[in-house]
Amino acid sequence: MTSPGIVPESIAYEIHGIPPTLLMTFVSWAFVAGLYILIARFPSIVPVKVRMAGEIILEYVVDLANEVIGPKAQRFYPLLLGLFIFILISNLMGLVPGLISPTSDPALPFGLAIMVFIYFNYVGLQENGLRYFKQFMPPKLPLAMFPISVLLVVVEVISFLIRPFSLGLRLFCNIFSKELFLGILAMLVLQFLNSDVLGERIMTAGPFILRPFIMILGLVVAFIQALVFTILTMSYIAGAIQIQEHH
Amino acid sequence: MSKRTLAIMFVAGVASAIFGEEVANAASEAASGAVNLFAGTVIGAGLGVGLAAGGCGCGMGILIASYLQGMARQPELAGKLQMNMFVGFALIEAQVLYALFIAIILLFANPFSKYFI
Repeated sequence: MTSPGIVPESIAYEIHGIPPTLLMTFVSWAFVAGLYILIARFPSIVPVKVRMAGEIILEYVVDLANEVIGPKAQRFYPLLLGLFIFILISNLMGLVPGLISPTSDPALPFGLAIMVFIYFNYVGLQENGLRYFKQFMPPKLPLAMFPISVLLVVVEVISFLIRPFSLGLRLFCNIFSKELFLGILAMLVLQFLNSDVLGERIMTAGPFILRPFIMILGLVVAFIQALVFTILTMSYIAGAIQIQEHH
Repeated sequence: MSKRTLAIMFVAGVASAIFGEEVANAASEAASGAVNLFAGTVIGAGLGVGLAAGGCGCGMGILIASYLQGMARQPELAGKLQMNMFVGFALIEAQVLYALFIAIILLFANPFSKYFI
């Protein structure tokens, strides 16, 4: 599932030794970093609309962070903005002909999710010390219902530990299934152009109508997935900072 | 019984008559373990994703219906409600994608196929 094993990109290129998705990760990262460094340090080179777009995105993420996390949000702005715009640009890269989304490789979304998991646990432990583990405690029940308390703790811990997995899996599955679908439709188009049998031509003519719609869907999904990743990160950080007993 | 029940039973009977014979033939021909394994995983993958999509459709319908109701009652809250709607949409969609993930693993990277091939 690493390189284009399942999704053969029709214009596949590979620098000797580097898998294509890793190359795309570098391209996306360089693009995002370069763009924002230019906007911050040399604003005169960048066209006005791009500068405005960058600032609008920044302001949106900052407002959302203030709303979800509260007053202590300022130290998290770089992480949240970086996550949002990196995932957004990475998702959108799959729609450009010849490029693959780096998020369609399972390594990148899971890596980001594990990083977010470690980070918000670190922040929670730093702010609250050992009181951080009190969030798994069940509500006070009479002593006779002890097994139910144990079960509640187990369920809480399991649903806590599955957070990074679900965070990464959501992003990976959305983008990978879009790429898979587009790749299969592209192969059908190639079959359409290469075949001489009329029946086969009729049956493989579907992608010409279907591909544009899947690409529009891919555009919507790219925005929504980037937004949801960022919002969930914010809400996990907020939950880690303000420890309330659940229930 | 009402006419509708009779109609549903008739359609079900016809469908099973049409497809039942194929299934019986296929079941009697499934000889070796490998065919059983692969047939089973294909059926499981398809059925799993189908059921997951059905449940997701129900959930999405409820979500969007409540969003529309909220928007109809107080149009000025449409922006705030919209953001929460997208978060809910992604969380529900993720459930279907978990099932799709398992189905793709079963079909393309089946961990048990190394015992048969």
